[in-house]
Amino acid sequence: MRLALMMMLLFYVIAYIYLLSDNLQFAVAILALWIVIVSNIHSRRSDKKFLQINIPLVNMIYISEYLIISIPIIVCFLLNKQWMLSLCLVIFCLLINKISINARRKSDTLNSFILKRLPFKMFEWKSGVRQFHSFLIIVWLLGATFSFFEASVPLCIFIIGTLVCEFYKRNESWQILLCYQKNSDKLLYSKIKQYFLLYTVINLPLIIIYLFFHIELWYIVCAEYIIFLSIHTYCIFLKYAYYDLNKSETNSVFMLIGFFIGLIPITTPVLWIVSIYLMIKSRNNLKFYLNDYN
Amino acid sequence: MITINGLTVNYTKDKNVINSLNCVFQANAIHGIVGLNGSGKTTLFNAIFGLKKATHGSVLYNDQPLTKKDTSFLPSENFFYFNITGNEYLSLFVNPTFDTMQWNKLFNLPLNGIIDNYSTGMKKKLALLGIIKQDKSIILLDEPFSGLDIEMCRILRLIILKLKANGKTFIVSSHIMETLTNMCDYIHYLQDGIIKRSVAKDGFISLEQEIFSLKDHEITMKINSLL
Repeated sequence: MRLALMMMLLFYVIAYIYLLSDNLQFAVAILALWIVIVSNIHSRRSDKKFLQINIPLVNMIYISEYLIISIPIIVCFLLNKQWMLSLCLVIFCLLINKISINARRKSDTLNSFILKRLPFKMFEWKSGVRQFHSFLIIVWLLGATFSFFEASVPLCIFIIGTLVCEFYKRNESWQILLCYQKNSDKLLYSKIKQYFLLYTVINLPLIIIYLFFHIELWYIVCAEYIIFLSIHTYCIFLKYAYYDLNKSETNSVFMLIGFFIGLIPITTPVLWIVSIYLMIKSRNNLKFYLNDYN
Repeated sequence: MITINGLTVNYTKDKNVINSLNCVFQANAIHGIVGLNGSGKTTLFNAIFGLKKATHGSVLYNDQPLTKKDTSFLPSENFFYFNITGNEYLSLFVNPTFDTMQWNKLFNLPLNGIIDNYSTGMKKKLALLGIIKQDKSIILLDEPFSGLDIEMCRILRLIILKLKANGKTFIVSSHIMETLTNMCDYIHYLQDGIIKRSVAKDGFISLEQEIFSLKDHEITMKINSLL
């Protein structure tokens, strides 16, 4: 089931990249995004030391791995006759091993300005932002900087929105659940409210910049913003609907299904209906733990 | 005063882990729960705190149902949220009078570091700090000394005694009798889901002899037959 979903997603993404890379501006944006993703993967790899010790030609491993995962994009560029961009991507894959930053180690003790500004009750965001810290900042800045491209901000909102889903994947311990000292209704309300405010604060500048350059395309970012609000609300309710002391993670298959249902604008209302069902279920599920705070 | 009336808890219908347990815990005292593995200590704590639903019976605090508003609970195994720091965990508990930095001089934890990188003992200390910060009138501690070093065990004992002097009520479990005898006002012996005996300070030695003399004899016989 998971494999089938992953294959579908992969096919969908590659087809979309192929269609977009016909346009030079979109192709440049795709290249920039891909470079950011691969750099991030490379800087976070935990097997670097192991490879250095055990593999004599470690650079060849890196080059071959990054070339293999870049093949779909290179092929899309070649099919659309984006020769320079294809070459740039190949050169990037050849030089990526020169990056020696170990972002993984840095993130372990990261207490940046942004993390300190996040509300202390939003532990999911503190954890998630710490995990994807540099990547989120780079994506946000690239999105804002290249907002004169039509695809820049929508792509940025998409990436940030997808990562935020990941924030709500893990269950908290009951100690954290009880620390709010609120009943289930108030807890869910405060969770949704805090999420809504924070997500809006992050996206609003991007939306304003985008509207400044492309006012005629206002509906794209607005629809995307609403779609991701719906998906994240679904994720929050899903987490608490199936909250269990003995489970550290929420059901990722349900999360993935909700994500895809939400992404397709025609089926987004289905997600709203499911979210209402999950809201009722999470209220009932949390009552056992939080009834004392009624 | 905490009163437990006919508390029954089970995981499967055919076997009760806590079996119509009746007990009274005096307020402003330290109560030790002692029992062998599988005697139902953790289940009893979970049921008192409300993490495990009781099949029958009730837990009352001053004749009212005991709620989580009055109680904090340190489980034997602690689980924290992924990728947050000790400071971030503690900041979730609201207590304006609690000075985290001053308390940490006793606990000596790297509060700006990610909890996932803490050792087992450090995680236990962090959970204890969280419990102290909550400042509830009833504190349940399930195996609080396991995983702690000798110095920290001494510090924790002194903290518990001081908090008791400030009016808190403790229910503490341990496998090791000595950790309870030098701190508790009462010890309750839990066996097969019921409190077999409850003794005050003057009865600790006789309780210890009663529990272990028979066991020691049985164990010696078994070892002799094996070796």
